[in-house]
Amino acid sequence: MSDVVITGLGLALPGAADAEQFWAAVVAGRSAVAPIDRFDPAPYPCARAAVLDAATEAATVGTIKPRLRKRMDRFCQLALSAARAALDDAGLDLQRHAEHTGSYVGNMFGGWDITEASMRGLCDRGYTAVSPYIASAWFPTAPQGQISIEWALKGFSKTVVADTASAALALGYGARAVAEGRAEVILAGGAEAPVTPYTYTFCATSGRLAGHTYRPGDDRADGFCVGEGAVLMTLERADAARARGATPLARFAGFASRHAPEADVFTPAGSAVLADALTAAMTEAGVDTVDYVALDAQGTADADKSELAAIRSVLGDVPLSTAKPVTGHLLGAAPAVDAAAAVLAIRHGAVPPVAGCDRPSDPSIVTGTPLLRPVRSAAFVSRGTDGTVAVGVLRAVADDTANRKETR
Amino acid sequence: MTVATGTYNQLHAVFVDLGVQPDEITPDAALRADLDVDSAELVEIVTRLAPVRVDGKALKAVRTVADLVAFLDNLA
Repeated sequence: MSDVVITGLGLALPGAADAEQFWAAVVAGRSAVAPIDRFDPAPYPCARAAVLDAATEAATVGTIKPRLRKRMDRFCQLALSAARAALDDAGLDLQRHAEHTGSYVGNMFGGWDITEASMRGLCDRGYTAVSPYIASAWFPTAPQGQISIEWALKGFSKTVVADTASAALALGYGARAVAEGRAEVILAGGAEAPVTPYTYTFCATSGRLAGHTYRPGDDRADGFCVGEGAVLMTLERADAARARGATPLARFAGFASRHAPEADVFTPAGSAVLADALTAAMTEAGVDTVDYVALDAQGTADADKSELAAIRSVLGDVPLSTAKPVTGHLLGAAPAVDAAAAVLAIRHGAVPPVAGCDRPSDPSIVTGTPLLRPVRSAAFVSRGTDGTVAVGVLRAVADDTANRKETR
Repeated sequence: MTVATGTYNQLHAVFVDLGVQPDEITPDAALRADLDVDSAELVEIVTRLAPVRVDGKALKAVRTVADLVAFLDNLA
């Protein structure tokens, strides 16, 4: 991909209101997953999830004026917080750039907080108990809309829904939109807020929830615990970033997406599709290996096995990690969590451990303590039950290692 | 312009509670242009103050704070 760089990182995650807090939790392998206290979780198959604590909430969603906040559902509030941080981090002057700045946001479920309360009111008191804000609150494109309104953005923007691969597509398509000149700047990433009684029902019926602990790669892995949050990155062309004096955090060097039959995506039959996507993304990035791979990490024996087999077939023995257990699995936004961790791994020179994984099913999985070494490149893998398979490759900005073969 | 004091004071309190600057609230203030109240927020306000259920379409003619006071008083 012709020189697209990440110049800003914004997040609102369980236990992390900014990149430093996030990285501290990631290298420590500290998970924010805890007992659910927003509603009675007893009827659900898993009683644990990760949500923003009071201090993180105050520093992120809490900074949005109440008159604006009430118009948005939670996933959208999280997205707006992350977008603000991503813009601040990039130091972008929107007076000059709003015309050609857009957003590419992935999510899976939309937002149901306002709707759930309204439906209860509808049953108890009739239609005047229905919130007038439902119309602009629940739907998946709401974050894209609110971000556009907040900063008067007029550039190319899209919303992507592709199960747990949503944010990977948002990041990859966002980078392409910048590379191909459809926008000068794109805020790309994902947002999700699945810890409400109704939304959590979708998680429960999907059969993907763990009994108690999310520990992908562990030989006892039995699914994931979900988390809420948002991650957005500012993407722009390297020459444009240089021209305005911005400091790029990493290059968004390669991306590929494929489709596997739904029944195959998490099975051995899906491995070849993932291997193909990984190879294509690395080819575009101009690398023949990477310093680590951030796993899709569905956290079930079959899904983990098919993922590890695919990676091994392409890269052999390469360090494997994921930050998803730290924040809980953010569903549609989850790929952006690992993309953010990869940016920070490149900055800090460490491959973080997989939180909760004590009995790794593969010796390449990093456990316990971070692997301290320069990280010049990282791939992040994601898959969705809809059959989407997507891989992004990030590279250090000043990475002039051998074997660089630009494909564009 | 004179408006009924009781309803106006109630409405004023709701505006302030929503986060509207008190010095911007006058009988002549336009809801949309001056106070940034859109149709959704107008429904929220009316739902809080109206003694009966209100048809949203009936609010189309309401433009100013004084219009809204008159509208609410007519419902009573």
